[in-house]
Amino acid sequence: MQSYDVVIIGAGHNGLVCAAYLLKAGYSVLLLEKRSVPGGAATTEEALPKEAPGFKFNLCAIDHEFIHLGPVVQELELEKYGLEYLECDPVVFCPHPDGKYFLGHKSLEQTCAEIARYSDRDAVKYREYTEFWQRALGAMIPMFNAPPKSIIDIAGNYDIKKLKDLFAVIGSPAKTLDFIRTMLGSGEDALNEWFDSEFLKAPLARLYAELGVPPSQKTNAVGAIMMAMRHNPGMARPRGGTGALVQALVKLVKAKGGVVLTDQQVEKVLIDNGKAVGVRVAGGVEYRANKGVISNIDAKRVFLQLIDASDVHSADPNLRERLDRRIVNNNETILKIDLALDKPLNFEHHNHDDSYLIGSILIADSVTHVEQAHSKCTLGEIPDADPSMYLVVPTMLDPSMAPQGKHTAWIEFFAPYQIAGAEGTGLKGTGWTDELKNQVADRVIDKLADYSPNVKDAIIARRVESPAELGERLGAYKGNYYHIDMTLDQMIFFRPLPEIANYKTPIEGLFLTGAGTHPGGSISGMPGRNCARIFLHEQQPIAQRFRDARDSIKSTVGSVFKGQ
Amino acid sequence: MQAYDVVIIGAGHNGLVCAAYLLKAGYSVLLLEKRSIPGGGSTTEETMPQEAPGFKFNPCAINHIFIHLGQVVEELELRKYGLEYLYCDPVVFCPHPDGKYFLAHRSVEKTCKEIARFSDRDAEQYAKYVEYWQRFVNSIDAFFNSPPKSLVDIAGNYDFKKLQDLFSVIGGVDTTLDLLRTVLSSPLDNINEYFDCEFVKAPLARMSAELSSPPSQKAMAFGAMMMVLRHNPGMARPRGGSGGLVDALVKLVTSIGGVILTEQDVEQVIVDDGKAVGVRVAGGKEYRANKGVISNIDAKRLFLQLVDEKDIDSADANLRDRLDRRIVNNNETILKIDCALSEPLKFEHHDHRDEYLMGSVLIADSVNHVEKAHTDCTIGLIPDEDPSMYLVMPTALDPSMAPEGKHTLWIEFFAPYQIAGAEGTGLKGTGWTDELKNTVADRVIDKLAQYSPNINNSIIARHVESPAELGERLGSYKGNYYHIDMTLDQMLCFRPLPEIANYKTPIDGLFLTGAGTHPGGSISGLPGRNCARVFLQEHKPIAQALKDARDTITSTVKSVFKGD
Repeated sequence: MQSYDVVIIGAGHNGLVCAAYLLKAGYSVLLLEKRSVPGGAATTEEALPKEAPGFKFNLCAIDHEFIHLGPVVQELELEKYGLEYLECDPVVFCPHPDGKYFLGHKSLEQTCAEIARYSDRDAVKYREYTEFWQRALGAMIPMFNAPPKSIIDIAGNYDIKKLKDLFAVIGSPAKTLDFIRTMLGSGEDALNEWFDSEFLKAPLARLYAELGVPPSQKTNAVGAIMMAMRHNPGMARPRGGTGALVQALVKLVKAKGGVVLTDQQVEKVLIDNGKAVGVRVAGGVEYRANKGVISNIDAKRVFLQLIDASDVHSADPNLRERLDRRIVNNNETILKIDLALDKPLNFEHHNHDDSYLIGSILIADSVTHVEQAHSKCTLGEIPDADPSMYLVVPTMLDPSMAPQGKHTAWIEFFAPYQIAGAEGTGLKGTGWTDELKNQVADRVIDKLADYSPNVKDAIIARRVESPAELGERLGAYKGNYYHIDMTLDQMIFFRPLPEIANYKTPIEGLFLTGAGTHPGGSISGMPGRNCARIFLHEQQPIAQRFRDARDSIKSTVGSVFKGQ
Repeated sequence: MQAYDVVIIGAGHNGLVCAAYLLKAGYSVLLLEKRSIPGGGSTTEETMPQEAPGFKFNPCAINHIFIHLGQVVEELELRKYGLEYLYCDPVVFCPHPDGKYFLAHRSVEKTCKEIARFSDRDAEQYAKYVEYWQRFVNSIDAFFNSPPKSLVDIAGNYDFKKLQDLFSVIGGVDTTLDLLRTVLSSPLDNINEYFDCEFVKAPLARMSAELSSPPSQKAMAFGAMMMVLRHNPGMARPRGGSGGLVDALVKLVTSIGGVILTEQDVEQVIVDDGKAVGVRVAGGKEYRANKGVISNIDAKRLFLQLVDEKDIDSADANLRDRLDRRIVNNNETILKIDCALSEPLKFEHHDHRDEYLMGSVLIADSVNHVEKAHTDCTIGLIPDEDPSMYLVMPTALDPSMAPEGKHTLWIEFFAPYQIAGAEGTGLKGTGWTDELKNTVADRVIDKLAQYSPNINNSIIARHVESPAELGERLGSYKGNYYHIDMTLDQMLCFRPLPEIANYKTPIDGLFLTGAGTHPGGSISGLPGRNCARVFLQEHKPIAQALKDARDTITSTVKSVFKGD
């Protein structure tokens, strides 16, 4: 039997990041990926090789923001391995049906100037709003970059600037309560408090709701960072697509002696005497893990599908039921449309400018429009009577992703995983069929054509992936591309459950990483890096741990006294 | 000018409770009510004297639960003034379309037996669910009975039993986090975690959603209280209707020298040198308040409609803007239907028993049915395609409310305040017209007739009140019968805003009570009692205040050491 120090289940970007840190610390690592390419939800693939050869598509993640809040790219020196980030500017375009539009530049000032064309008040408010959430974000960053229950790590991540942000946001008792009140509120509440104009509220509502819930959902006020981050640190895409991040990670991992095997579906985590000692893949081959098994797939899958019930039970008799019933995956996921285009979109009713196509393009006519896009999914209905969507023309920023002069479009349309009343039919009993997904895609394209009428003539080929197909490809329950919902009750030390929120599990030597762990889904690499820290910490003698703690705190204290 | 120690704006039940405590402490009190009768949201009226003489209706509040969590009835000895509570048992009936039904008795054990007729598992789970949330209620009811920011009062409200409950709910780190996670989650999450069967989930979803948000709304899991409180302390109605409570309070207040004047619409709070010194009513008459003015109407109405802008601005420059924009009233309120009936309802498809009619009757066919009843309102649609409703036939328990052998029916149907697309038409621009409200009422009755077909032939007369009319009668923004939304971000020390959450305001001598203050709407008297405590505390010399604090804490400490 082949043996490694560590076996990682799944070679998504977090698994690869985690592997890189462990390899650098001197451990031997094997990654096992069930698909034929590594990357998980961070791949770039020639998805239509026959109808559209040479067109490269990001099948899931496209706009990278969170990764710029952490040190992963720098610490792993990914640029040396070929990663190059191209920054988007403008960052968001949303045409309004009445001819107005929201154009968010990377510069806050420029964005305010755009808003001021229609509303001076909202332009002023937008600045205050962004500055508020920038400070809040500054105060949160140290928490993102540490295991959620590791107070010392978190404390060590604060420097004077971040402490200032923290106190600016929380401050006095009344201010603290007010901040908590804000965090318990909904995106819609926040938007109504700050703004008057629909052309501005609608795109912001759509970005809040990118966390997978309606704008009226309470406790989602933090969704404001989905826009605030686009101003700073900014939004970027790897040259060559999201998959280029994975390519750089794979190169690094291999260069350090790591092994990545594809088409290896892990079927079982081997437990010996309460300790995870390896895995078995489909076909029966077993791989030994001397120091630990790390799961890049979510806790629910790993414990309910890959481990003997009796092994879980003897480690924690409540865990299986809690994973089964307490973790929430709502009924909302994505119907994904990829288009090969022979010309770029043209927003002719909105003084088309090619710069509109650089960032995220939102079709969000009103807050209610966005609300329905989500609340209907909750009920199992398809919100396609008047589709709202998020789209990107990645070839505008990076022409290398299509044959010369050609383009691609990436369209995200929220849709229910299980269609109400269609239980037991279609793929996996969800009600989704090829006919239905294409019918929905037609409606989405029709809606887009209201704004960019040339889209219909421009389509060379298209690929539509239904929620059920997406679920099958990613493996997550209900096709949840965040593994589990990104709602406050499942974030930070609640993710995925308090007792397993620190990347460790009740089974010795079994660790968790990936989107289902703190700080969650999206391209950040943070779950991978934080998990590696916990793993390495566990391997250290206790004296070293105390030294680390002291150094970490010292560095924060040092920063405070140096005042920088 | 007539002068009193205290003038109270509005004679709702909280204003009356507050007045009673102040009168008992020796202050002179005047209550000014804009309607022709006192009671606010807690009246009983002969709504249709011509078509249905002798039939008495509760236009708003009907089932009293929260008042039994406090000491108001006992401390004020309201029984002496004619108040008699009739307890409901069973407490809830919900017929399911497939012939099953949920019948909750006051006894948890009996309720579990009813559930066990259809599902043993869910019967067991129901006992756990009730136990969990009962402990939750016990551990927080000390908060209800105190001003939210008064730590001393809260500590004094804990005795040994409640401390035990507090620690059994919170306990260790992971248990504390787990409780917090539950609090941040939605009723839907919580119900799915516990139960399998739709016939149990649907009524529980409807009960939780009585706090006026969809079952999927996060941070609303505490809505479970709406059901578990029906088991203990129980649900009761004053003999003679909700107005029976107000009648007793009025008797008490007037017997100890309080003055209640009706048809007195307060138009202005008179502020002199930063201090509230009286009020002026429509017609120009002024009343002097030597020690304070207490508002039973919500802070938003008070400050935005009754106080001079410059007086507020000089007390707190941000308050007006914060009240205007930060307080959330969602778009959901009630279309209220009252019917005079010639015979009782008969649930003939569900083995009709008369006891079904004792408590709350819910028409909630599925969790989705309830979800839609609320999400439609959010986007301004009327959920009347398949109406969900809450109804009561109060005459089953209290025949005195109708002529002999006759009955009344109280129906609550959630509806939007502002109808989308009808802005500027109908009453107050909401889109509501007499024709529309009756069309909707017809649909509601049609739905009810599916379960109780005899309703069609038994209606003697009916009265329909649209959301706009209800708003006009109660005076609150968007017809919100809770004054402001009962979501977690607006509860406890956030209600209505952190800086005015302790019944005091930045204007000296101006106090807040009523549904818009902690612990919120519903019949409880707690905002009235808590406000009186704060008022009295303010008027005590500091030495006495400290002595009280010591006594309060001593009593908790004693109870702990005695262990009872």
